[in-house]
Amino acid sequence: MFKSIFSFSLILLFSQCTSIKNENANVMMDESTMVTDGELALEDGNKLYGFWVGKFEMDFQDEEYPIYEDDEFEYNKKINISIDKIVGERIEGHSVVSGNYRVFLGSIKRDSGRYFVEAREPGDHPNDGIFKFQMNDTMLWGTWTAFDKKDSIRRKYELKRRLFKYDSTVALEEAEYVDYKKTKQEMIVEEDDSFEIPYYATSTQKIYEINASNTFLNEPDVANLKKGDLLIVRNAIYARHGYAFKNKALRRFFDAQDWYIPVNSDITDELSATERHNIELLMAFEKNAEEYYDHFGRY
Amino acid sequence: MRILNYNFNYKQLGKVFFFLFIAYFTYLMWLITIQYIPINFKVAFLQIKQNEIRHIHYQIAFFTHVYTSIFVLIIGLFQFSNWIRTKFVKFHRTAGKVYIALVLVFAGPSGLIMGYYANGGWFTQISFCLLAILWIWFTYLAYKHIRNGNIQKHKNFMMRSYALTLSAISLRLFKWLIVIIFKLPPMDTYYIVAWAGWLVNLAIAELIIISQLSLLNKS
Repeated sequence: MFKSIFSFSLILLFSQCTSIKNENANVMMDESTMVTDGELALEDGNKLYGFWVGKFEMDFQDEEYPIYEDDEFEYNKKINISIDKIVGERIEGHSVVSGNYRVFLGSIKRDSGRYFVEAREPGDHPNDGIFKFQMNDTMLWGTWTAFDKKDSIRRKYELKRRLFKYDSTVALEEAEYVDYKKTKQEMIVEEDDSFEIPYYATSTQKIYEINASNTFLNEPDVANLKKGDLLIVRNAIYARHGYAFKNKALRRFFDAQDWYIPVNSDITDELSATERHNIELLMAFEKNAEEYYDHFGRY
Repeated sequence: MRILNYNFNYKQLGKVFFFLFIAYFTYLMWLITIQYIPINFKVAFLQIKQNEIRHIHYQIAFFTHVYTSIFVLIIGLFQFSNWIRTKFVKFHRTAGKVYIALVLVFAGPSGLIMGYYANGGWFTQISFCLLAILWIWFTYLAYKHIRNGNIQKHKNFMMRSYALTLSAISLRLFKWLIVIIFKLPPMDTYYIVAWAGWLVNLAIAELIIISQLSLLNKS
């Protein structure tokens, strides 16, 4: 009796082992192809030029209530508002948030030591809107309202001026990278578009010990990393270059890093030789982990 | 137990289940093998062996091992059947010669070269090299004993040889179980299965040999 129960459960167990690899495996690439001309060069002497960085917070009117689905929690995105050019009363700039790089154009007026800016995004993106903010030498604060009236999305922000300089030595700070919905593939509907992204269980402490920007990694350095760790270690390279992540889970992780500034949506030209080597190595192991980690195949 | 008008005892039934079990995983090994057809240096296991696959001797060793070992596994499936061994003696002998030749000339030595380049450093390298050496050694002894007409010793060493052949399956099966149950990182898992993958099999083979020996002594 026990024998047959035992063998039955064995058969049941092994009936789960039906394939040698995960056929749906693909390495998540969060590199968008979109390149917008940045005009990042700052003109000397103008104290307003440059990056203003901080939280892009939901600003709810009294009658509105935030509706979060299931375990979706409020997540304040990081925004980078860049003032690129001021000529007379005309101001040019761009913002980087949620992996979107959008230019804006508007007017700037000076009044009692403060500057008042009203600037509009082009309007050809479903998520464009209007910025209204004030600024002085040290702060930039105000609101943003979507053009799309039916969404009536409003956000507020208080930003500080930040200098961006690529530093290969910058280390990750402790932050959460967790899969809140335990499904592996998930349709994510963002404000502007929807796409499928893979979610990974979580990363481990090992991600804080490896810097793939200033260390030439070899196979033994990465062979014991799970796929979540491999993913973070590789994407930290992009983050150091100011890559603006489109993937929500990655963005949530890197937005929580103090040093991180979303600057550009294409940084592939700026990668060092070490970084290129490490990316290739990490991707090979990510692919392997995706395909074979929990399957019969590989070795 | 009566199945299809044929009387099975539990021992026979167990043998049939064991056969089906091994046959199924041999089929999975077949699927792993055909991933490497046509020759491709960028797939499966090789995507994380890019440093080694550059060497021509590793290329030869790897593909020799992959393309021949699968047939060692398949042949081994049929060699332990009393029915085949008594009714089709010629088949048993021919298949056995192919098995021995494949292990001694191709799969064994190529496995030894691959063992030298195993992932995970000396700890796993020693395991896989030892595995290859014992595999060749047991297979050779089984051959030697049958040439001398010593059937019992031939049987024992063939059991040990096939136990090591089956490490291809058990290693992957253990890895799969460890990952789904304990979720260990890949290299920690590899350290365990590199040794457990063949030591467990060999221990089981020894237990079978000992139990058969005590049966012989009783009769």
